Amino acid sequence: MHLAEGVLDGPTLAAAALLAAGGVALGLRRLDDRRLPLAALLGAVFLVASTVHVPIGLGSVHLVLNGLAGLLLGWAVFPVLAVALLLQAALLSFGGFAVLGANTLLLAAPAVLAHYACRRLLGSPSRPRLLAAGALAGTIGIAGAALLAALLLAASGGRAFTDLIALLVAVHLPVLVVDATIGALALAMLGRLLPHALRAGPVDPPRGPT
Amino acid sequence: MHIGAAPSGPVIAVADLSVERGGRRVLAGVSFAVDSAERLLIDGASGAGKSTLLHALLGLVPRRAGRIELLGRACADEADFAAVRGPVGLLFQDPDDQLLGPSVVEDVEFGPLNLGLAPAAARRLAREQLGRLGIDALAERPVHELSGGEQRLAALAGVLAMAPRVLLLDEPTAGLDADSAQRLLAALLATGVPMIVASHDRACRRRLATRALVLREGRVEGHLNSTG
Amino acid sequence: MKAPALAQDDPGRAAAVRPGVAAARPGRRGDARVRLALAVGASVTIALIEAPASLLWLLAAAATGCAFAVLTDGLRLAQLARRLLAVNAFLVLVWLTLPLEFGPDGLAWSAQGVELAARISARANAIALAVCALLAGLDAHGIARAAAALGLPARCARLMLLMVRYIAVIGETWRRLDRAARARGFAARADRRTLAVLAHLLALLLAHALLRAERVDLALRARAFAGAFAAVARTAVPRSDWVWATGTLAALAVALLLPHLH
Repeated sequence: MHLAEGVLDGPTLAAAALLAAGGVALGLRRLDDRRLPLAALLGAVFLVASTVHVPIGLGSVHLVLNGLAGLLLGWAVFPVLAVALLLQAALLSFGGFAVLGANTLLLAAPAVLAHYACRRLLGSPSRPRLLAAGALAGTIGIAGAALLAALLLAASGGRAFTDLIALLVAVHLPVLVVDATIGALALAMLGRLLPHALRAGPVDPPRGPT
Repeated sequence: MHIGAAPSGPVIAVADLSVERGGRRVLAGVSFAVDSAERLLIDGASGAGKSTLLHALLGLVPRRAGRIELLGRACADEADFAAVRGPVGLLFQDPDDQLLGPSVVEDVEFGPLNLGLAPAAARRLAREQLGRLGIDALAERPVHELSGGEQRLAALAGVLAMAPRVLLLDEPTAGLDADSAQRLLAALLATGVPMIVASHDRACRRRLATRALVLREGRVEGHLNSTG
Repeated sequence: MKAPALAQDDPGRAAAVRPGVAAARPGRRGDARVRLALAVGASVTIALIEAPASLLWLLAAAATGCAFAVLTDGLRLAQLARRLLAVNAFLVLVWLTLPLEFGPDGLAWSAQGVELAARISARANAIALAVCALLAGLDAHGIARAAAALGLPARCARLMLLMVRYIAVIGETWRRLDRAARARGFAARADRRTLAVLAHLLALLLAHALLRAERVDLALRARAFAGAFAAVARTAVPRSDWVWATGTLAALAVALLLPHLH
């Protein structure tokens, strides 16, 4: 999940910020004005959802749901997550401004990947397909985030961070299970509540006749 | 003392309850008790604090001060309250606040599932409960497609499916036509459990209440023993 | 879930802070763009500082700033404590892994690791304190307006403003769903039922959001909306902000110069 301020070094922060800015720009370009309220509403949902604690025996984990967000938002997940992270950094929660680019990148890039990997499953939304889509999105989202966090740390500190990377990956495992499970079940239920919404691909519709 | 008799003592006892919402005092020094043979009506204008009182009784709203005892247990924190939700059932004023769906039968089985029943048993129980209220025809319907009266009955089914020993009812007949209201009141009477009813509906008062008290601006203003 | 009336979808509603964060007092008046710019600038600068002396100085300066903020600008100790807790919880992981090395002879203590961990800890805490001091009393709306005023690209600013407005609505919806579930005996535990219920509630929340988006779309189209939201009105920057600016820039300058004074 998020990295704290002060961990990554300058060049890594800069490179990540640059990549994130590119993603945000691309996401904004593909987000037409009419779909802004929808993107904002979904962003609000994911921000609120991230405050939910799920007990897992020893302590609890937060929902992240970046994969599910990517599945529904497409490239728009970049600006939406960037804004959410900016608000979190400013409103005295977790994260930070210097590491904003890195956090955006590590959450949003896997989210976009999840979008491309799973969206065909939304085309004919049967329950097994929706469960699969939600689980896959959750898995790609968290695994991707853990991998990118590891890469960023490796680029920053090299061998000194090896154990930290291992620990972070280990900590991400219960998050992955929770995110994939809840994502799968939620998407399946959403398919029952609003079947047409999923088929249309809420924010980033697949290319084709409208 | 008869073996198997209901425990003596009030089913609900409230002492000096104070609740604040957004800096405003909504309830102040509310005290009363309900015993196992009573149906207490709480009357009062809108904004007097009736809903807040019911929500506070179930621990859904934090209280500033006061003591709440449900079914003989003192309830102080979320864990205490969580243990009695079910045995103490609340019917919300707005079915929208209560119904989780997606279909009626899935909504009714939500409570039993939380109480630990196996899925098949919960489903069976839900259908039985719907039958008892005469709305089994609505079982597979999506919750948001029901009329106001149907939603109210569905919500009630969801509460009754948890086999409550006390009921808290927030304006149960509001917005219902005379027919549906009578059906609802009959169903409530048929449960035979003690209840607290927040309502300013005459029919409620006449058919249900054994006793009444009035809330004004968050304080208990009067106790009435009549059911007129 | 029935559809609420269209009037409720009016994006002009005053909104509050997102759930989970203590509601901010209507603390500071005026534009917050100077403070936001300072917070971002300070974060980035401190994140790049390596010298121990500078970091210690910054910790002291930031803590002093926080003390001022508590006394004069409505910084709540609870908020400060929560942020410091979050930051240091992550740092525990850092301290567990950096100073210790698992070599062929078992655990070895690495002086370099300790140094790096200390540096990271100092930076993280200094930034947290500085941001707390500078952004005390601001709510989500203030942040959004400040960011927009600082030149965030137009569509991004609009997205941010809309998101901030909807956070209150969605948060309220979540509270109602959570209350409905708890009233019927749900309690979050480490079991499968909890995951199923939370997923159910999340689906309802998403459906609510998607339905509301449809209604907002209809409302906007009914008013022949052409795609341009109103520009954000600019208000004056309070004078106290320039005091904070001076203090912050001075502290940063000292931090940057310290290594060169030997």
